[in-house]
Amino acid sequence: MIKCIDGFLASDNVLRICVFLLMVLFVINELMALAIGVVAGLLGSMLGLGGGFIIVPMLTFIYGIDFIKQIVFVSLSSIVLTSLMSTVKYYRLGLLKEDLSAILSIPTVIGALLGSLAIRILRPSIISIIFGILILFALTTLIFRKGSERTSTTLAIGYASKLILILIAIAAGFASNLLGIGGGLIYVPALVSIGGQSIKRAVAISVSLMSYSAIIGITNGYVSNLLMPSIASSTALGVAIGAYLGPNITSRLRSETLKIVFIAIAIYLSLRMILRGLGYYVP
Amino acid sequence: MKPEYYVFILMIALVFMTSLMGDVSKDPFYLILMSLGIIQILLIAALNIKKKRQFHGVLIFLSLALVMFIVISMFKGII
Repeated sequence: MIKCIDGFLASDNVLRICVFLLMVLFVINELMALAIGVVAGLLGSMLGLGGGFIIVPMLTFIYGIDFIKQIVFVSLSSIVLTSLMSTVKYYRLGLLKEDLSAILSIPTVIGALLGSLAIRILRPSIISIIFGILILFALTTLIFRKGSERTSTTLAIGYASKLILILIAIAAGFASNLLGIGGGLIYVPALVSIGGQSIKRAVAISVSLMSYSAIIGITNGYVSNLLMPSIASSTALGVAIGAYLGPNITSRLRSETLKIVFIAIAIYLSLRMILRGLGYYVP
Repeated sequence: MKPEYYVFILMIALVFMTSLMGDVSKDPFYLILMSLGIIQILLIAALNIKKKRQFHGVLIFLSLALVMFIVISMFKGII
């Protein structure tokens, strides 16, 4: 028996099987990341939430909260591409308001730098808890959001409002680099309520600011050896496919049913992230 | 010449200088990152130069310069 095992181990077949299994494992990981990206792109285009809110919890569910820092950088990698694509689209539609985008770009960069320093220091469990709480907050805004979009006219804003917006932009940049989100959840309500912008204009400004913080974030991931380039590229591709197909597919689906399913899953994932961060086992 | 053009030329020069310093050619990821930076610069330059809003254009270029400065500092291990 031992001779048989020795003979098997000595043969080239073992090596071939190992290489084959590694390749399968590699492809499975890639395909899984691609699928998550597609789902994130589809749901993001349908629900108006950024990809980060879907990518981070789903990948954390698969890889565990110990890998949350790596997952944050995967999320930021997909944000770079989608934000650049969306900025061009919004500009062509005439929705991008350059003056506010310009004023808020520098505080966003400063916030992103602070966030990238914070992610190096904080433990994965703490990041997981913060993210879980933020998902619950995002869900409340999603649940209580009115069906019809407000299309208020753009108002002129004073210096005090601009100062508040600058502080909010620092916070958004910080959250973006710490949690792997675009920051739309923070920018859009602030730009609508304080900046006097319509929702569409606020989304356009928010999208134009995301790429600044995302570029800093992925650089931080790379220099910290926490970036997973293969997973990041697959997810980014998936998000791009999902965002492209999103409007065509979601128009055929019953969005209310899908929204309820998404909210239920998101509540479970957020509670799981919080409890796992606190050290409790949740299946 | 408009201020945007000066900053724009400065940024392009900065990107090419860093590429000549060696890191970019050795590291494909750095190259991709820089390419994204250049795309963004070109994009926002196109948006702003057209609009003739010099102050806002300069602000955006400053923030881009800040991004590139942070990126380079991270690669060099300063931050």
